[in-house]
Amino acid sequence: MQIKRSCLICLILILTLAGCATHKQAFNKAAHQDVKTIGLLEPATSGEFLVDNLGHPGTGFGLVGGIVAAIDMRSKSKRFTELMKEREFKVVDEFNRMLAAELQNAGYSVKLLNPERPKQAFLEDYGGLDKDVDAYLDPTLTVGYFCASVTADYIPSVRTSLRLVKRGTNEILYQELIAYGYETRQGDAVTIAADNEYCFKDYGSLAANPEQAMEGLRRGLPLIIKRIATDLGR
Amino acid sequence: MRRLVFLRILIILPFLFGTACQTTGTDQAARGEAFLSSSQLIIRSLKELSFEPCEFEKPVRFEFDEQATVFEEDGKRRLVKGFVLPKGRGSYSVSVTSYKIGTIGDPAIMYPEVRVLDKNLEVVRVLPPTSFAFRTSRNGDGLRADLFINDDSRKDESFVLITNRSMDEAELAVSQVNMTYSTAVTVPTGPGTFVTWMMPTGISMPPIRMKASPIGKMAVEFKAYRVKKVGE
Repeated sequence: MQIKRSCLICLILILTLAGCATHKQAFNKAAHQDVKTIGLLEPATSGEFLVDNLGHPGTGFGLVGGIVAAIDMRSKSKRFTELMKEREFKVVDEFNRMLAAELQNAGYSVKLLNPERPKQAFLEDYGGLDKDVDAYLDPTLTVGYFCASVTADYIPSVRTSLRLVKRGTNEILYQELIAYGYETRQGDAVTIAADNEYCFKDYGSLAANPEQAMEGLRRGLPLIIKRIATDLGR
Repeated sequence: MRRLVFLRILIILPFLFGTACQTTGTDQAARGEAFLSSSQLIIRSLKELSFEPCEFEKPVRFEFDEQATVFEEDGKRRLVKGFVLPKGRGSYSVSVTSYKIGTIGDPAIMYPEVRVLDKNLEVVRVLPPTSFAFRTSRNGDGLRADLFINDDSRKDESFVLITNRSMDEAELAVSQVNMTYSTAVTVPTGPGTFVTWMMPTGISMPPIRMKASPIGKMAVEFKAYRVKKVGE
Protein backbone atom coordinates (compact mmCIF):
# COMPACT_ATOMS: atom_id res chain seq x y z
CA MET A 1 0.00 0.00 0.00
CA GLN A 2 2.82 2.36 1.02
CA ILE A 3 4.77 1.47 -2.14
CA LYS A 4 1.72 2.08 -4.33
CA ARG A 5 1.13 5.44 -2.71
CA SER A 6 4.79 6.42 -3.09
CA CYS A 7 4.78 5.53 -6.78
CA LEU A 8 1.61 7.56 -7.24
CA ILE A 9 3.13 10.61 -5.53
CA CYS A 10 6.23 10.22 -7.71
CA LEU A 11 4.07 10.07 -10.83
CA ILE A 12 2.10 13.16 -9.78
CA LEU A 13 5.35 15.04 -9.23
CA ILE A 14 6.72 14.06 -12.64
CA LEU A 15 3.47 15.09 -14.33
CA THR A 16 3.42 18.35 -12.39
CA LEU A 17 6.96 19.20 -13.38
CA ALA A 18 6.82 18.03 -16.95
CA GLY A 19 3.32 18.58 -18.13
CA CYS A 20 0.48 20.85 -17.13
CA ALA A 21 1.22 23.98 -19.05
CA THR A 22 3.08 23.09 -22.20
CA HIS A 23 0.70 25.37 -24.11
CA LYS A 24 1.51 29.03 -23.61
CA GLN A 25 -0.73 31.97 -24.32
CA ALA A 26 0.24 35.56 -23.65
CA PHE A 27 -2.66 37.83 -22.67
CA ASN A 28 -3.68 40.26 -25.38
CA LYS A 29 -4.88 43.09 -23.16
CA ALA A 30 -6.10 45.39 -25.91
CA ALA A 31 -8.24 42.68 -27.48
CA HIS A 32 -9.93 41.76 -24.21
CA GLN A 33 -10.89 45.02 -22.58
CA ASP A 34 -14.28 43.43 -21.85
CA VAL A 35 -12.71 41.24 -19.15
CA LYS A 36 -13.41 43.31 -16.06
CA THR A 37 -14.44 40.78 -13.41
CA ILE A 38 -12.31 37.72 -12.81
CA GLY A 39 -13.50 34.64 -10.95
CA LEU A 40 -10.40 33.49 -9.11
CA LEU A 41 -10.56 29.75 -8.44
CA GLU A 42 -8.95 28.19 -5.42
CA PRO A 43 -5.76 26.56 -6.73
CA ALA A 44 -5.57 22.86 -7.49
CA THR A 45 -3.00 21.44 -5.11
CA SER A 46 -2.11 18.18 -3.37
CA GLY A 47 -2.03 19.89 0.02
CA GLU A 48 1.46 18.48 0.52
CA PHE A 49 4.79 20.23 0.76
CA LEU A 50 6.89 18.05 -1.51
CA VAL A 51 10.50 17.17 -0.86
CA ASP A 52 12.25 15.54 -3.77
CA ASN A 53 15.72 14.61 -4.89
CA LEU A 54 15.49 14.59 -8.68
CA GLY A 55 18.84 12.81 -8.93
CA HIS A 56 18.15 10.26 -6.22
CA PRO A 57 20.73 7.43 -6.46
CA GLY A 58 17.94 4.88 -6.07
CA THR A 59 16.58 5.76 -9.49
CA GLY A 60 19.74 4.27 -10.99
CA PHE A 61 18.79 0.79 -9.76
CA GLY A 62 15.79 0.01 -11.91
CA LEU A 63 12.30 -0.55 -10.57
CA VAL A 64 13.33 -1.63 -7.07
CA GLY A 65 15.67 1.34 -6.70
CA GLY A 66 12.93 3.63 -8.01
CA ILE A 67 10.51 2.33 -5.41
CA VAL A 68 13.10 2.80 -2.64
CA ALA A 69 13.67 6.37 -3.86
CA ALA A 70 9.92 7.02 -3.96
CA ILE A 71 9.46 5.73 -0.40
CA ASP A 72 12.37 7.83 0.83
CA MET A 73 10.98 10.99 -0.79
CA ARG A 74 7.49 10.20 0.38
CA SER A 75 8.56 9.96 4.00
CA LYS A 76 10.57 13.19 3.72
CA SER A 77 7.61 14.98 2.12
CA LYS A 78 5.31 13.71 4.85
CA ARG A 79 7.60 14.92 7.64
CA PHE A 80 8.16 18.28 5.97
CA THR A 81 4.41 18.73 5.42
CA GLU A 82 3.87 18.10 9.14
CA LEU A 83 6.49 20.71 9.95
CA MET A 84 4.77 23.28 7.75
CA LYS A 85 1.31 22.43 9.08
CA GLU A 86 2.54 22.74 12.68
CA ARG A 87 3.44 26.30 11.74
CA GLU A 88 0.02 26.85 10.18
CA PHE A 89 1.55 27.74 6.85
CA LYS A 90 -1.56 27.91 4.65
CA VAL A 91 0.16 28.51 1.36
CA VAL A 92 -2.98 28.22 -0.78
CA ASP A 93 -4.83 30.83 1.28
CA GLU A 94 -1.85 33.20 1.19
CA PHE A 95 -1.43 32.70 -2.55
CA ASN A 96 -5.08 33.40 -3.34
CA ARG A 97 -5.36 36.36 -0.99
CA MET A 98 -2.28 38.02 -2.48
CA LEU A 99 -3.30 37.22 -6.04
CA ALA A 100 -6.78 38.66 -5.52
CA ALA A 101 -5.28 41.86 -4.10
CA GLU A 102 -2.82 42.23 -6.99
CA LEU A 103 -5.54 41.65 -9.59
CA GLN A 104 -7.62 44.35 -7.92
CA ASN A 105 -4.60 46.67 -8.01
CA ALA A 106 -4.35 45.88 -11.72
CA GLY A 107 -7.90 47.16 -12.22
CA TYR A 108 -10.04 44.00 -12.06
CA SER A 109 -12.95 43.12 -9.84
CA VAL A 110 -12.31 39.73 -8.28
CA LYS A 111 -14.68 37.06 -7.02
CA LEU A 112 -13.20 34.12 -5.10
CA LEU A 113 -14.59 30.77 -6.21
CA ASN A 114 -14.05 27.34 -4.74
CA PRO A 115 -15.19 24.73 -7.27
CA GLU A 116 -15.18 20.96 -6.86
CA ARG A 117 -12.03 19.62 -8.46
CA PRO A 118 -12.26 16.03 -9.65
CA LYS A 119 -8.52 16.08 -10.39
CA GLN A 120 -5.52 17.98 -9.16
CA ALA A 121 -5.35 19.90 -12.42
CA PHE A 122 -7.13 22.59 -14.44
CA LEU A 123 -10.90 22.25 -14.52
CA GLU A 124 -12.16 20.65 -17.71
CA ASP A 125 -15.58 22.26 -17.52
CA TYR A 126 -16.28 25.80 -16.34
CA GLY A 127 -19.97 25.61 -17.20
CA GLY A 128 -21.54 25.49 -13.76
CA LEU A 129 -19.49 28.25 -12.16
CA ASP A 130 -20.41 31.84 -11.31
CA LYS A 131 -22.24 33.59 -14.15
CA ASP A 132 -21.38 37.13 -13.02
CA VAL A 133 -17.72 37.02 -13.95
CA ASP A 134 -16.17 37.66 -17.35
CA ALA A 135 -13.41 35.08 -17.05
CA TYR A 136 -12.08 32.42 -14.69
CA LEU A 137 -8.49 32.38 -13.50
CA ASP A 138 -7.65 28.74 -12.79
CA PRO A 139 -4.32 28.12 -11.00
CA THR A 140 -2.53 24.97 -9.87
CA LEU A 141 0.07 25.16 -7.14
CA THR A 142 3.01 22.90 -6.27
CA VAL A 143 5.18 23.80 -3.29
CA GLY A 144 8.23 22.20 -1.71
CA TYR A 145 11.98 21.78 -1.78
CA PHE A 146 13.89 20.04 -4.56
CA CYS A 147 17.51 19.09 -5.06
CA ALA A 148 19.42 17.91 -8.12
CA SER A 149 21.39 15.11 -6.41
CA VAL A 150 22.61 13.88 -3.05
CA THR A 151 25.43 16.39 -3.19
CA ALA A 152 23.34 19.38 -4.28
CA ASP A 153 21.43 21.82 -2.07
CA TYR A 154 17.71 21.65 -1.44
CA ILE A 155 16.20 24.71 -3.14
CA PRO A 156 12.73 26.12 -2.50
CA SER A 157 10.21 25.60 -5.27
CA VAL A 158 6.84 27.22 -5.83
CA ARG A 159 5.33 26.48 -9.21
CA THR A 160 2.04 27.57 -10.61
CA SER A 161 0.48 26.84 -13.94
CA LEU A 162 -2.57 28.92 -14.57
CA ARG A 163 -4.97 29.89 -17.26
CA LEU A 164 -7.59 32.57 -17.80
CA VAL A 165 -10.69 31.16 -19.46
CA LYS A 166 -13.36 33.41 -20.89
CA ARG A 167 -16.82 32.63 -19.55
CA GLY A 168 -19.20 31.40 -22.21
CA THR A 169 -16.76 30.96 -25.07
CA ASN A 170 -14.25 28.82 -23.10
CA GLU A 171 -11.40 30.58 -24.89
CA ILE A 172 -8.05 30.37 -23.11
CA LEU A 173 -6.99 34.02 -23.03
CA TYR A 174 -3.85 33.45 -20.97
CA GLN A 175 -1.87 30.39 -20.00
CA GLU A 176 1.46 30.34 -18.26
CA LEU A 177 3.80 28.31 -16.08
CA ILE A 178 5.73 30.32 -13.50
CA ALA A 179 8.37 28.76 -11.28
CA TYR A 180 10.16 30.27 -8.32
CA GLY A 181 13.32 28.62 -7.03
CA TYR A 182 14.36 25.23 -8.32
CA GLU A 183 14.54 25.38 -12.09
CA THR A 184 13.64 22.11 -13.79
CA ARG A 185 14.02 23.20 -17.42
CA GLN A 186 10.58 21.82 -18.10
CA GLY A 187 7.74 23.42 -19.99
CA ASP A 188 9.28 26.74 -21.04
CA ALA A 189 8.59 28.19 -17.60
CA VAL A 190 9.06 31.76 -16.45
CA THR A 191 11.71 31.27 -13.78
CA ILE A 192 12.42 33.44 -10.78
CA ALA A 193 15.52 32.56 -8.77
CA ALA A 194 15.35 32.05 -5.00
CA ASP A 195 17.87 33.66 -2.67
CA ASN A 196 20.81 31.52 -1.64
CA GLU A 197 19.96 32.01 2.03
CA TYR A 198 16.97 29.67 1.54
CA CYS A 199 19.02 26.78 0.18
CA PHE A 200 19.81 23.85 2.50
CA LYS A 201 22.77 21.56 2.06
CA ASP A 202 20.79 18.41 2.87
CA TYR A 203 17.44 17.20 4.16
CA GLY A 204 18.69 17.20 7.76
CA SER A 205 19.36 20.91 7.74
CA LEU A 206 16.07 21.58 5.90
CA ALA A 207 14.07 19.72 8.53
CA ALA A 208 16.08 21.31 11.33
CA ASN A 209 15.26 24.84 10.15
CA PRO A 210 11.54 24.80 9.37
CA GLU A 211 11.03 28.51 10.04
CA GLN A 212 13.72 29.43 7.53
CA ALA A 213 12.39 26.83 5.09
CA MET A 214 8.89 28.26 5.38
CA GLU A 215 10.22 31.76 4.80
CA GLY A 216 12.04 30.50 1.69
CA LEU A 217 8.74 29.31 0.22
CA ARG A 218 6.77 32.34 1.36
CA ARG A 219 9.23 34.68 -0.39
CA GLY A 220 8.26 33.18 -3.73
CA LEU A 221 4.57 33.98 -3.53
CA PRO A 222 4.68 37.77 -4.11
CA LEU A 223 7.28 37.32 -6.86
CA ILE A 224 5.07 34.88 -8.77
CA ILE A 225 1.97 36.96 -8.19
CA LYS A 226 3.69 40.12 -9.39
CA ARG A 227 4.49 38.32 -12.64
CA ILE A 228 0.86 37.27 -13.09
CA ALA A 229 -0.38 40.78 -12.36
CA THR A 230 2.12 42.22 -14.86
CA ASP A 231 0.98 39.75 -17.52
CA LEU A 232 -2.69 40.51 -16.95
CA GLY A 233 -2.26 44.19 -16.09
CA ARG A 234 -4.50 46.64 -17.88
CA MET B 1 31.49 15.40 5.59
CA ARG B 2 34.86 15.79 3.84
CA ARG B 3 33.92 13.02 1.46
CA LEU B 4 30.72 14.88 0.57
CA VAL B 5 32.62 18.10 -0.15
CA PHE B 6 35.10 16.15 -2.29
CA LEU B 7 32.23 14.54 -4.20
CA ARG B 8 30.66 17.95 -4.83
CA ILE B 9 33.96 19.27 -6.19
CA LEU B 10 34.32 16.18 -8.42
CA ILE B 11 30.86 16.74 -9.88
CA ILE B 12 31.21 20.49 -10.42
CA LEU B 13 34.74 20.42 -11.86
CA PRO B 14 33.87 18.94 -15.28
CA PHE B 15 31.28 21.68 -15.74
CA LEU B 16 33.72 24.41 -14.84
CA PHE B 17 36.36 22.96 -17.20
CA GLY B 18 33.74 22.35 -19.85
CA THR B 19 32.68 25.96 -19.80
CA ALA B 20 36.20 27.34 -19.44
CA CYS B 21 36.68 27.24 -23.21
CA GLN B 22 33.54 29.28 -23.81
CA THR B 23 33.62 33.06 -23.81
CA THR B 24 32.48 34.43 -20.48
CA GLY B 25 29.64 36.90 -20.19
CA THR B 26 32.10 39.54 -18.98
CA ASP B 27 34.17 39.09 -22.14
CA GLN B 28 31.08 39.14 -24.37
CA ALA B 29 29.87 42.38 -22.80
CA ALA B 30 33.33 43.95 -23.12
CA ARG B 31 33.58 42.81 -26.76
CA GLY B 32 30.21 44.39 -27.49
CA GLU B 33 31.10 47.67 -25.83
CA ALA B 34 34.43 47.78 -27.68
CA PHE B 35 32.69 47.13 -30.98
CA LEU B 36 30.10 49.85 -30.35
CA SER B 37 32.68 52.47 -29.50
CA SER B 38 35.05 51.60 -32.37
CA SER B 39 32.53 50.98 -35.14
CA GLN B 40 32.91 53.26 -38.16
CA LEU B 41 29.80 52.07 -39.96
CA ILE B 42 27.06 53.80 -38.06
CA ILE B 43 23.70 55.25 -39.01
CA ARG B 44 22.32 58.44 -37.46
CA SER B 45 18.81 58.20 -38.77
CA LEU B 46 16.44 55.23 -38.87
CA LYS B 47 15.71 56.19 -42.48
CA GLU B 48 19.08 54.61 -43.27
CA LEU B 49 18.04 51.30 -41.69
CA SER B 50 16.60 48.63 -43.93
CA PHE B 51 13.57 47.08 -42.22
CA GLU B 52 13.08 43.41 -43.00
CA PRO B 53 9.77 41.92 -44.06
CA CYS B 54 8.40 39.41 -41.57
CA GLU B 55 7.48 35.82 -42.16
CA PHE B 56 4.58 34.42 -40.15
CA GLU B 57 4.81 31.29 -37.97
CA LYS B 58 8.54 30.94 -38.55
CA PRO B 59 11.04 32.24 -35.99
CA VAL B 60 13.73 34.54 -37.35
CA ARG B 61 16.99 33.95 -35.51
CA PHE B 62 19.76 36.53 -35.69
CA GLU B 63 22.72 37.79 -33.75
CA PHE B 64 23.52 41.22 -32.49
CA ASP B 65 27.21 41.10 -33.33
CA GLU B 66 29.84 42.90 -35.39
CA GLN B 67 27.67 42.46 -38.51
CA ALA B 68 24.68 44.24 -36.99
CA THR B 69 23.76 47.85 -37.67
CA VAL B 70 24.97 50.47 -35.19
CA PHE B 71 22.59 53.34 -34.61
CA GLU B 72 23.72 56.54 -32.91
CA GLU B 73 20.97 58.36 -31.07
CA ASP B 74 21.39 61.28 -28.65
CA GLY B 75 25.13 60.58 -28.58
CA LYS B 76 24.60 56.94 -27.57
CA ARG B 77 25.35 53.99 -29.80
CA ARG B 78 23.28 50.82 -29.89
CA LEU B 79 22.74 47.84 -32.15
CA VAL B 80 19.43 47.79 -33.98
CA LYS B 81 17.30 45.52 -36.12
CA GLY B 82 13.98 46.46 -37.66
CA PHE B 83 11.00 44.63 -39.15
CA VAL B 84 8.04 45.81 -41.17
CA LEU B 85 4.71 45.24 -39.42
CA PRO B 86 2.33 43.84 -42.00
CA LYS B 87 -1.15 45.28 -42.40
CA GLY B 88 -4.41 43.44 -43.09
CA ARG B 89 -3.36 40.31 -41.22
CA GLY B 90 -5.85 40.68 -38.37
CA SER B 91 -4.41 40.56 -34.87
CA TYR B 92 -1.02 39.00 -34.42
CA SER B 93 1.76 38.69 -31.88
CA VAL B 94 5.42 39.53 -32.17
CA SER B 95 7.42 37.39 -29.80
CA VAL B 96 10.92 38.73 -29.03
CA THR B 97 13.50 36.53 -27.27
CA SER B 98 17.03 37.42 -26.21
CA TYR B 99 19.06 34.33 -25.32
CA LYS B 100 21.50 33.98 -22.47
CA ILE B 101 25.13 33.90 -23.58
CA GLY B 102 28.46 33.41 -21.77
CA THR B 103 29.09 30.61 -19.31
CA ILE B 104 27.16 29.06 -16.44
CA GLY B 105 29.32 30.86 -13.90
CA ASP B 106 29.51 34.14 -15.83
CA PRO B 107 26.41 34.66 -17.95
CA ALA B 108 25.36 37.74 -19.92
CA ILE B 109 22.36 38.71 -21.96
CA MET B 110 21.27 41.48 -24.27
CA TYR B 111 18.45 43.31 -22.48
CA PRO B 112 16.12 44.23 -25.32
CA GLU B 113 14.14 47.37 -25.91
CA VAL B 114 11.26 47.02 -28.35
CA ARG B 115 9.82 50.11 -30.01
CA VAL B 116 6.84 50.33 -32.31
CA LEU B 117 7.24 53.02 -34.96
CA ASP B 118 4.80 54.77 -37.26
CA LYS B 119 5.31 55.22 -40.99
CA ASN B 120 7.46 58.31 -40.31
CA LEU B 121 9.66 56.19 -38.01
CA GLU B 122 8.47 58.06 -34.93
CA VAL B 123 7.99 56.05 -31.75
CA VAL B 124 4.33 55.12 -31.16
CA ARG B 125 4.93 52.99 -28.10
CA VAL B 126 7.70 51.16 -26.27
CA LEU B 127 7.18 47.73 -24.76
CA PRO B 128 7.63 48.12 -20.97
CA PRO B 129 10.82 46.40 -19.76
CA THR B 130 8.72 44.48 -17.20
CA SER B 131 7.04 42.68 -20.12
CA PHE B 132 10.19 40.62 -20.47
CA ALA B 133 10.32 37.51 -18.31
CA PHE B 134 13.26 35.14 -17.98
CA ARG B 135 12.38 31.67 -19.23
CA THR B 136 14.22 28.40 -19.10
CA SER B 137 13.58 25.81 -21.74
CA ARG B 138 15.36 23.11 -23.66
CA ASN B 139 15.63 25.48 -26.63
CA GLY B 140 17.72 27.93 -24.63
CA ASP B 141 17.21 30.27 -21.71
CA GLY B 142 16.31 33.85 -22.34
CA LEU B 143 14.23 36.95 -21.80
CA ARG B 144 11.00 36.89 -23.77
CA ALA B 145 8.07 39.20 -24.28
CA ASP B 146 5.06 39.23 -26.57
CA LEU B 147 3.83 42.33 -28.31
CA PHE B 148 0.37 42.36 -29.86
CA ILE B 149 -0.61 44.20 -33.00
CA ASN B 150 -4.38 44.44 -33.23
CA ASP B 151 -5.71 45.57 -36.58
CA ASP B 152 -8.84 47.16 -35.13
CA SER B 153 -7.01 49.27 -32.56
CA ARG B 154 -3.67 50.01 -34.23
CA LYS B 155 -3.22 53.61 -35.22
CA ASP B 156 -0.21 53.75 -37.41
CA GLU B 157 2.01 50.95 -36.21
CA SER B 158 4.22 50.28 -39.18
CA PHE B 159 7.57 49.03 -37.93
CA VAL B 160 9.10 47.30 -34.93
CA LEU B 161 12.61 48.18 -33.83
CA ILE B 162 14.66 45.97 -31.53
CA THR B 163 17.64 47.40 -29.74
CA ASN B 164 19.53 46.99 -26.49
CA ARG B 165 18.99 49.03 -23.38
CA SER B 166 21.53 49.86 -20.71
CA MET B 167 20.89 48.48 -17.26
CA ASP B 168 21.75 49.34 -13.68
CA GLU B 169 23.34 46.56 -11.66
CA ALA B 170 20.23 46.22 -9.46
CA GLU B 171 17.97 45.74 -12.49
CA LEU B 172 19.88 42.78 -13.92
CA ALA B 173 17.91 39.55 -14.24
CA VAL B 174 19.02 36.55 -12.20
CA SER B 175 19.63 33.11 -13.61
CA GLN B 176 20.06 29.87 -11.73
CA VAL B 177 21.04 26.51 -13.14
CA ASN B 178 20.02 23.15 -11.66
CA MET B 179 20.96 20.05 -13.60
CA THR B 180 20.25 16.39 -13.07
CA TYR B 181 22.04 13.89 -15.25
CA SER B 182 23.62 10.43 -15.17
CA THR B 183 27.26 9.48 -15.01
CA ALA B 184 28.39 6.07 -16.22
CA VAL B 185 30.24 4.09 -13.55
CA THR B 186 31.89 0.87 -14.73
CA VAL B 187 32.66 -1.76 -12.11
CA PRO B 188 34.71 -4.94 -12.82
CA THR B 189 32.71 -7.99 -11.76
CA GLY B 190 35.20 -10.70 -12.72
CA PRO B 191 37.98 -11.48 -15.18
CA GLY B 192 37.09 -9.55 -18.31
CA THR B 193 33.56 -8.73 -17.22
CA PHE B 194 32.21 -5.34 -16.27
CA VAL B 195 28.95 -3.86 -15.22
CA THR B 196 28.12 -0.28 -16.14
CA TRP B 197 25.80 1.59 -13.84
CA MET B 198 24.27 4.92 -14.76
CA MET B 199 24.62 6.87 -11.54
CA PRO B 200 22.08 9.70 -11.24
CA THR B 201 23.64 12.90 -10.06
CA GLY B 202 23.32 16.65 -10.53
CA ILE B 203 24.46 20.11 -9.58
CA SER B 204 22.92 23.39 -8.54
CA MET B 205 24.74 26.62 -9.23
CA PRO B 206 24.03 29.65 -7.06
CA PRO B 207 21.79 32.38 -8.51
CA ILE B 208 23.79 34.86 -10.51
CA ARG B 209 23.00 38.18 -12.18
CA MET B 210 23.34 38.19 -15.97
CA LYS B 211 25.54 41.01 -17.19
CA ALA B 212 24.17 43.44 -19.75
CA SER B 213 25.75 42.86 -23.12
CA PRO B 214 25.09 44.98 -26.22
CA ILE B 215 25.67 41.87 -28.34
CA GLY B 216 23.68 38.67 -28.12
CA LYS B 217 21.50 36.08 -29.79
CA MET B 218 17.93 36.90 -30.64
CA ALA B 219 14.78 35.39 -32.11
CA VAL B 220 11.63 37.09 -33.35
CA GLU B 221 8.45 35.27 -34.29
CA PHE B 222 5.30 36.68 -35.86
CA LYS B 223 2.18 34.63 -35.18
CA ALA B 224 -1.47 35.09 -36.04
CA TYR B 225 -3.45 35.68 -32.83
CA ARG B 226 -5.81 32.81 -32.32
CA VAL B 227 -6.65 31.54 -28.87
CA LYS B 228 -7.41 27.91 -28.16
CA LYS B 229 -10.51 26.71 -26.36
CA VAL B 230 -10.69 24.44 -23.35
CA GLY B 231 -10.31 20.85 -24.54
CA GLU B 232 -8.88 21.87 -27.91
